[in-house]
Amino acid sequence: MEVASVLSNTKADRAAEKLLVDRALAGEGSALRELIDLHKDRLFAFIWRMVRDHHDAEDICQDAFLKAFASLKSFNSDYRFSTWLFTIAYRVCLNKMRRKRALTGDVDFTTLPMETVGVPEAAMQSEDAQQVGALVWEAVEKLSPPQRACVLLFYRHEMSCQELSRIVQLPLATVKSHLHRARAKLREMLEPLTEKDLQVFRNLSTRAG
Amino acid sequence: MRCVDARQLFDAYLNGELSSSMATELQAHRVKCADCRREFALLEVSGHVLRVDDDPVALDDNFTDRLIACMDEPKSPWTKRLRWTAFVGAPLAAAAVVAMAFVGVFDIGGKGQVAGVITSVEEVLGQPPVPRVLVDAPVAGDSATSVSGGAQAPDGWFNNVRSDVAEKQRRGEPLQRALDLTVLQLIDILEEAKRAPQGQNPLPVGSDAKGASDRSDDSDDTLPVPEGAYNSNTDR
Repeated sequence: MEVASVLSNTKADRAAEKLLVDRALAGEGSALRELIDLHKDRLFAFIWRMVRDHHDAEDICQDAFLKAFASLKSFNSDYRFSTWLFTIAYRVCLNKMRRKRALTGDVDFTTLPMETVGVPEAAMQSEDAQQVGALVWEAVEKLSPPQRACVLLFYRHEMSCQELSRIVQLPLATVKSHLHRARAKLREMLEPLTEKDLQVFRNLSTRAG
Repeated sequence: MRCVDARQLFDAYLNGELSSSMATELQAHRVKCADCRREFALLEVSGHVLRVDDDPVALDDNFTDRLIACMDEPKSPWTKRLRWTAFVGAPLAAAAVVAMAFVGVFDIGGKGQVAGVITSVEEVLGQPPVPRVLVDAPVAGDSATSVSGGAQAPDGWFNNVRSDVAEKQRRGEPLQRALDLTVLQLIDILEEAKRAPQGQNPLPVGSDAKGASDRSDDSDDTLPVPEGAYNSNTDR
């Protein structure tokens, strides 16, 4: 992970973000709109990956924004607004998933049609890569909600373990343990891959550190 | 570096927590060890897919507009709306019901009663403060059949209001609105009570309260006697 770049971005972002939040608190409609537009796509993507239902994801996204704006005064500008927003969204997600489980039993994500699952960028280059992508996302669906959240936030949203800890409201050590277990499960799913399959990704950039 | 040591460092490496010297040592081991190289490649592949894959879904274009509209819905500022409704609105409306009822009692009774006189909601809303004695036998010279003391005429409007509120809640209408409507209904009824001649029940009579005699000899009553609430032979 590019810690240095994240930190430098964060410094600039936080000053602008604080200004934006202050404007929103002062009742400036355009500031609210700006905050929504800045975060809605990333937030929705995360929620959709968590609940795998478009309507539910949209409801949760809206709910998260409403909750965040209703308690905007309590936002601590020492942290990123996105961290705070994702924390709220994650809680709403968990509640929704619990309610859904209570109503319909366990949700079996493996029965969902695979065409809705994202395919890797490399799919354009290779059918093998597409299959690998499908395997990875299938494995992600099978992770527990905290593990899934940790993996998605870490890889897709490039958040640090500290931010993950704040969002899922778990100790840092627990978050690292979730990440470790999630990686182990993903690796297990990819075990059948051959050297040829792996070759597809060999020269692609990797995220380490 | 042994394989077991190297694999213990994979997570730290992927989390970006490994010192540069340890990272170099780990890379050196990967070059030498095919098993660890494959193990690490599998982790990197899954991370790569998670990072670069596009999301196959997107929010509707008008999401922001809908969200803003959702916030602008109430007349009051949206930031205050939730708190107002949840913590101030409902209790205030309830307090208004009670306050209106008290004011109404003073005017209806016309005898300068104080608040302490009132002992129950039923009393305020029209049921006389008497023991609820079930009178089964019809009384001679009285057209009334069996009546239940204190549970008749007022039930008509009181239960109507209550069921009205329950119905609104069942339909999912905000409690605030239901309470507002209740207050309005109460104001109407109390206004009518003020205009009605003393001793006459201004309240709508329940369907099961027919033909019972009025009680006119009880000067202690603070409220007009509802029709059919008492049997004439019933002692208080």
